[in-house]
Amino acid sequence: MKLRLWSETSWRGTWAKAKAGAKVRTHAFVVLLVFLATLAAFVYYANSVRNSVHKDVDSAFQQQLRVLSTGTTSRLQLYEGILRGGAGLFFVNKTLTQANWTSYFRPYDIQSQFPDVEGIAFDRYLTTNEVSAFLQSIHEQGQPSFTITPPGERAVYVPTTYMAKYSSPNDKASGYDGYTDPVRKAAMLEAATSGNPTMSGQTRLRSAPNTPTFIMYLPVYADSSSLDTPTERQAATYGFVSVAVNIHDFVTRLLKQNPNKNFGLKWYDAQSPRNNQLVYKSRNFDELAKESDSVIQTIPFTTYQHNWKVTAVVGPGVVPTAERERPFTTLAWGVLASTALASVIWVLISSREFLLNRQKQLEVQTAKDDLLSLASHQLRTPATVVKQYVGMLLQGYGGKLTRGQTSMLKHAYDSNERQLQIINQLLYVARLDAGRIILHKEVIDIGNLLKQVCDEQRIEASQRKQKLVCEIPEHELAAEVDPQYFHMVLENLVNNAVKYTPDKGTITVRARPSQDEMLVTVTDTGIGIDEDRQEMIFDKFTRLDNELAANTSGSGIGLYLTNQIVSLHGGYIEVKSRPGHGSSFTVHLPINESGEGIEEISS
Amino acid sequence: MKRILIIEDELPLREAFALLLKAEGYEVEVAENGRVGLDKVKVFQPDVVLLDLLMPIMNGMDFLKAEAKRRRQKAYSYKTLVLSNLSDPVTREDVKDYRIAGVAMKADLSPAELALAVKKLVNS
Repeated sequence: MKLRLWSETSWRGTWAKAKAGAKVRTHAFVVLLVFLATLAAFVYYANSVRNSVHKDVDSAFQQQLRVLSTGTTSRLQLYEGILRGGAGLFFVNKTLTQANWTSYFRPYDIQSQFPDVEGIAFDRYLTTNEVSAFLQSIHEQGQPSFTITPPGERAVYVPTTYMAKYSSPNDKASGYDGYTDPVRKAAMLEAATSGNPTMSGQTRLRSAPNTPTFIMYLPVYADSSSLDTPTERQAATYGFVSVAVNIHDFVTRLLKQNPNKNFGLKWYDAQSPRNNQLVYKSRNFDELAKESDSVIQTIPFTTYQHNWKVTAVVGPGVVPTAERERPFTTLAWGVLASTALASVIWVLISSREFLLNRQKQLEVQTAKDDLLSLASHQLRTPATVVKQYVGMLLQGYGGKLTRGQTSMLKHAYDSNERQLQIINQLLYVARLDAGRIILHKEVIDIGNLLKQVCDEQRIEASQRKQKLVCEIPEHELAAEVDPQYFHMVLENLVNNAVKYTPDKGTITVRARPSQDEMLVTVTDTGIGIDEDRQEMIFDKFTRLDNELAANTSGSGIGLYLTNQIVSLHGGYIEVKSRPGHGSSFTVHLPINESGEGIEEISS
Repeated sequence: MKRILIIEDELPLREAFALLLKAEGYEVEVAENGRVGLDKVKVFQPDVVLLDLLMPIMNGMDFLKAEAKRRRQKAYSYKTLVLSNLSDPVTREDVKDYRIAGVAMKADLSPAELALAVKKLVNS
């Protein structure tokens, strides 16, 4: 049977746990609050970073649009200049030849300087009754095969008369009546009536039917005509100098001026019969438009009286990847930082709580100790006074006593002794239960200690005519114990044996080392203990009812205290008993160097 | 005649000790606390001082501290027996530094044992 330290009752632990639970919940709430607040701050910051990324994309977009707009305007102004040059020829002489026309434009080096230009033409404006005279003069100028196409009766004819052609050098365009094309007609009418250079919408040249093209017209008026009103201007129209521009080449060229793979556009003719006809589309447009943070915007604009619409897109790629990922990295850091901060606060709160608890425990403990000391003093003092006076009477300081008086005083003295012993034991138990018994261990000879105890107990044993045998080996029995407390243990065991063994019985005390233990056995030929009560004897305030107990003084604390002290030393007490034959108590005390289980209980 | 000074606040105990030691043939003086004890020590020049620890006004520890200085100056020499009912370990640990002759628990000493202890101190 091994007996270990009696454990704390559990209700106190449960109550403390419940209270601690509420505190932990409060702390968790505070920590959660800190976590959420920090996280919220980071989310807000990440969002503002995200907004600034948006802003950057947006400003890149505006920048691209400005470049595009400036490029378009300046390019078209160049074409206007060319047209005005061509128109200037007619101020000098209304009768030009195809050869004049070609040679006039040769220095412009159109093919290399303006690769997007399909051709520069002069289209003569004719009413029905002017046609035959016109055809005759053209034929005389050396173009005998010149005819107006398509054929048919019309009020107005505007055949291409002279042509400087660049993209495809055949002469199909010559004689073509552009007025039959509603797109060109609209532009010609606008140019004629306004007197300003005017752009057509998207059209297709007969020479390049698959290429979207716009044509810019500048009117040439008959000499000495009044040009004050639109009607007068239309009536005075002599013809148009025009430049045909390949839209795809035009836009490509513009975009090349400021290349940006994150910029794309769709260019629509906003005035075509089919409204918003697409005339140009960047290859990367759809891809860019799909991206989540891209900016798409549609802007209407007008060049030389014609309305266009551009849908432009700027992909998030204009902003460096790292910059674009910053909101997410910020958020990630935010989660990390919030967690870290919350953890730190948790640790701080917990450790502070721990310190406060510890401090409180110490305060309570100190108060308990003080109370214990005071109580011990206060309880002992009156009993000590009794002891001194009764003791003095017994020893004859008060004069000679009769036998009866001596007997009475002896009872009083013994009773007072018992009271003092109980006070002592109670104080030990109180200290023990508070975990305040501190062992001051030293290596001593257990044999010597046992001899001392045997000598002390021999008086009482001999009074009861008992045989007290101490079988202690000659050699030293070294063990590390607290001499004072271990003396208490041995004294208690031997004294118990003396008390609970009938007169003339035998008490044997043995000590011997065994492996890593020191064994001290106290055997008696006493009344013994029933097996079912053997465990009980180490409980506090247990006294067994038996014939000897009635005659024996005891508080029921001794064995409890003894067992606890042995436990504090890392050992245990083994009990063997046969009722009617006697009992044997063996103290198992570890003596190994590491001293497993031997630990000092510190304050 | 050897002189014993008893410093003890508990009146009946003080008188019991005084009675006992006078009966044993000593010249006895009493003091009810450390403060009075300090004065009496100078005048009475005891051979042995029985000192209680827990006392009002000036306790035994403070008495020991005050006397430690004079003891170092070898102004006098007497032996101190600390008699207390305070728990043993506390008492032992605390008075260890004052080179006292002995410590005993009052409750443990019978009058005969006390008389014997004083006799030993006086004769040593």
